[in-house]
Amino acid sequence: MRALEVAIDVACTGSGGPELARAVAAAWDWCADDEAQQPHESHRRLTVLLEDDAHLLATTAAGTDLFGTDLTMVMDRLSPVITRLAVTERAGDLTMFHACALADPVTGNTAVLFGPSGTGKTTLARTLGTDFVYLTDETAGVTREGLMVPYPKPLSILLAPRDRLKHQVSPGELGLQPIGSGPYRLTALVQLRRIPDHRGEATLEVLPTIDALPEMVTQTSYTRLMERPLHRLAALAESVGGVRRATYAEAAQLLPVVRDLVTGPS
Amino acid sequence: MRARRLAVVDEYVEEGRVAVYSEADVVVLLSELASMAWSVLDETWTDAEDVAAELVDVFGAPGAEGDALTMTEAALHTLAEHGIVELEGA
Repeated sequence: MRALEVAIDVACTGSGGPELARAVAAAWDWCADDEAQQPHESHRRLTVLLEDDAHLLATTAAGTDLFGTDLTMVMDRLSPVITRLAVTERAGDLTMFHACALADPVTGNTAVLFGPSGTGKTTLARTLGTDFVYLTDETAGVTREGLMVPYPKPLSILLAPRDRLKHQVSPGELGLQPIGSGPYRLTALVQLRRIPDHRGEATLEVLPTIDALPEMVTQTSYTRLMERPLHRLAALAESVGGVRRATYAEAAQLLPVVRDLVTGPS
Repeated sequence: MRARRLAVVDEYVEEGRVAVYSEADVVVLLSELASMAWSVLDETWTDAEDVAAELVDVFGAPGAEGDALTMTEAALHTLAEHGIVELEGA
């Protein structure tokens, strides 16, 4: 698969290996690597063990990156492992926001909506990703040229109210809009501020860049490895007319906001 | 009292205000007064009286709000609390 353009081989081992391989292929199908391996390209490798025999697991787990006896649990834990591997690989190169990224299917204009866990990035992707192209619900990578690096990972969703673990669901299974030929260009940076009892329409305000920087840094991976990180983030913010802060309660309230932000001229 | 800057990751200035990315991995937004005090300092020791004199040059004498040296020392203490300035004789 490819995550943030990092080629990753996931080796599924153990008695549950074939079942795990099928589950990974189904959930991560939008990250499947259809391109032929480049001659000098190095692949990162993850070894994941699914073994329902606990005794056998104990003797074979050493040397694996992830192991377990339960498919749903292993799939749940695999997602952050892949993200961490890809993000670490692109550290200092891409600007990587903890964000949901959605793009206009015609212009490729992209809104990056960043915020901490609990601000509803996955819900946003699930709700608005049927109207816009789904680029990610986790890590939005932006090149120095302002181009998006898609990471259309599966969405982590509780399928039943009593579920303890989230299921990894392919974006295609949820009817989200697939990535086209692109390119996708960053045109809006939105800081998410979810207030559960916020009434009426979502509100949008442009922040002075200096006031936006603390949260931008907090919601960006490996900021310290960037050269002059505050200047790089400030330049990115200025390139899209400043960071906007969206206050909202429900994901659907952001539909007109995102539409206004990405349907402008490319 | 005297003060000097500690190493920081980066700093960004916008309309007289400064954001500093500290070695503690935190970005602090400085008040206008603290921003000015920060801009006066470098890696060598500077007496608080000299910082106060620079601030009076820029902002004028504080008048009824207090004396310049006390206000300067308070700003320097704030910078020290953020871990971006070292104090001696405080």
